[in-house]
Amino acid sequence: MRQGSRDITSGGTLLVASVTLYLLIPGQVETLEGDTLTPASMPMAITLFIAMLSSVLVFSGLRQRTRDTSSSPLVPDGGGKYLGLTVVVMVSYVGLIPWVGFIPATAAALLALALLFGNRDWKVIFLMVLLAPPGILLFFRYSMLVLLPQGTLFD
Amino acid sequence: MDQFFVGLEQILQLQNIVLMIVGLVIGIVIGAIPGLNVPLAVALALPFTFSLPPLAGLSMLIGIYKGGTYGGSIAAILINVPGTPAAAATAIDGNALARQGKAGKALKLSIYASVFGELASDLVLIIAAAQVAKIALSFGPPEFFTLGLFALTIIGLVSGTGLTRGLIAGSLGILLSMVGIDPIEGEVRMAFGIYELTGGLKFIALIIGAFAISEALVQVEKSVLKKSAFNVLEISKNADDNRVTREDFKKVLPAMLRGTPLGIFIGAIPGIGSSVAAFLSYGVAKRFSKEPEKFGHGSVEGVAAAESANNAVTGSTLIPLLTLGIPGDVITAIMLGALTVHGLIPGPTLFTQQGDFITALFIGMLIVTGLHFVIAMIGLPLFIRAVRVPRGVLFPIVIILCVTGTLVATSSIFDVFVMLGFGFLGYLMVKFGFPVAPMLIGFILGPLIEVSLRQSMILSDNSIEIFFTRPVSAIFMILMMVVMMSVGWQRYKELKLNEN
Repeated sequence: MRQGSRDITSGGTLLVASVTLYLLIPGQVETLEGDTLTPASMPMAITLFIAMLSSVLVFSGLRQRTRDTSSSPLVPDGGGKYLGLTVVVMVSYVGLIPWVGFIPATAAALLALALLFGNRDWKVIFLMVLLAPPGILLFFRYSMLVLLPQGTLFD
Repeated sequence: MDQFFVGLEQILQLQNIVLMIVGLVIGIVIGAIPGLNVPLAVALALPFTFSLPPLAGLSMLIGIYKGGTYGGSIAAILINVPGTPAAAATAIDGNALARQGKAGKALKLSIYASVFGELASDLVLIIAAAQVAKIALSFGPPEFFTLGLFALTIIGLVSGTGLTRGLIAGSLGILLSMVGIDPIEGEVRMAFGIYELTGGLKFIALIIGAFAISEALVQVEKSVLKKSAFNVLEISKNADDNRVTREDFKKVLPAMLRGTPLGIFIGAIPGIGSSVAAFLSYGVAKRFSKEPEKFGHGSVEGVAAAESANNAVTGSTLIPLLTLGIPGDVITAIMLGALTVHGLIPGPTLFTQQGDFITALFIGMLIVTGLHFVIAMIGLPLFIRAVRVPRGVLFPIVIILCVTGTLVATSSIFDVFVMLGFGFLGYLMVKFGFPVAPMLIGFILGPLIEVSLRQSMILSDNSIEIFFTRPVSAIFMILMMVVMMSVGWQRYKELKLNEN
């Protein structure tokens, strides 16, 4: 994505989000009569400030886009599929921990993440999956006296 | 003197020394691995410090900070990829030396220069901190408001990716800090009916998400785009190539003596950081060198100047943190979190109420610096191997530790999901060119800014004159305006130049 487009996309998104938040905040806070600065004042001022700065970003993006004739993007895009899969693996992992327990969830997540990060050395992957989950569990149990979730599936 | 011995007794516990060593080793290893950085290491270690006594936890974090800042030079010298941004200046001459077969000399020189910078910085911290704290004892809400605003503005302006983006990131951090219970009236705000948000967003979730998970997401894209492995230069078998001679010392000493004060000064100013210090010192060393033509082609002065300055930041950056409660960078912001978890509130009162703790901490910093020298020299062959650790092993483990660390620190699956959310937000910020550091500093300074503003308004009967009539707050306001105008003017000139 080029610099101008990046500015417009990020500035536009922030502008919409901050204006929406600005409108929502008063309904979220009960304020006392007569106060000059209420609990809602600072969040509203900050969202307004963000909206103002986002407009500057959109404006500078529009100016830049008209001048930008280069064809090469500033930041190479790609790897989106792997990124999406990594996010799915991480969210599923956190969701699975209370259900199946720390060790099985961690072993499955490690396997998937190792493959996503390009590791194809099966010996190393096998050792990671076998040793890391119980190692972390035991470290927390005996060194920090914290019990990690055992899961409710088999209760 | 009594306080010195009490502090010495407190810090010389076996647990503290072991944790300093562990911190240094973790810091150097993580600093040496391209893609991992010091904030990520400190963020990952933070949950582990919660169950430790404050001095032990902080000793480990300081070890990681000092070790990590130096560790970046290993990758910079051996593969020309700085392990940390602060080591980018070291890569210029360090890698050139390594290509001439003198990697051992460059690596040893970087240890000497780093430890020299650290030691001087620790001493300045010890001498200056108490004096600054004495002045800060007279500060009231207006001074703290303007100081907080000044620090955040500087951090937003100088964080690298443009004025507007820096200010947006800082403001976003303040906004996120306001979720939950309002600190003055106790009203719940911006929780949007979600019970778990009434207690506010957790600092640990923001730190781990924005600095570790976001880095992992950036790296997963890179591992797809860039499959090529790093070419690690070998250490020469010839002992002369690996030795720092008396002549080398004579050459580098002036560069270190110029670079170290520069690093100390930059470290004490919030937001600027070690990479700026390293490049400035490198430039100054080149200007005053008798052999400026060697810079860029393997100058020992270049390596020493950059390394002494970037490590000289590590002590002085604690001056604003400990005396004013203002974190100068991401790492000190994380340390502030570690202190507050243990009920220690950084600021001038820390010196009056916790004198023994402060004394022990200062002695601890000197011990960490001494241990840094020993561990870096002994462990160099091991740390060189760390450069070769593949991403496919490293990042899956990092992600698992992020999740486990947050789960242990918060005992809440909801907060782990929030941490992942911050990770994705951090990734988007990197992708769209927003600096992440101002968001974290804004999150930390948000409550201080809001509370002191509202207290000032109560004190002044809702008049903003209070910020201009009290001398210290007026100075901060003027400084803030001067900095904003000079950065704005600089940007305007750049735009004009580009248009022409």
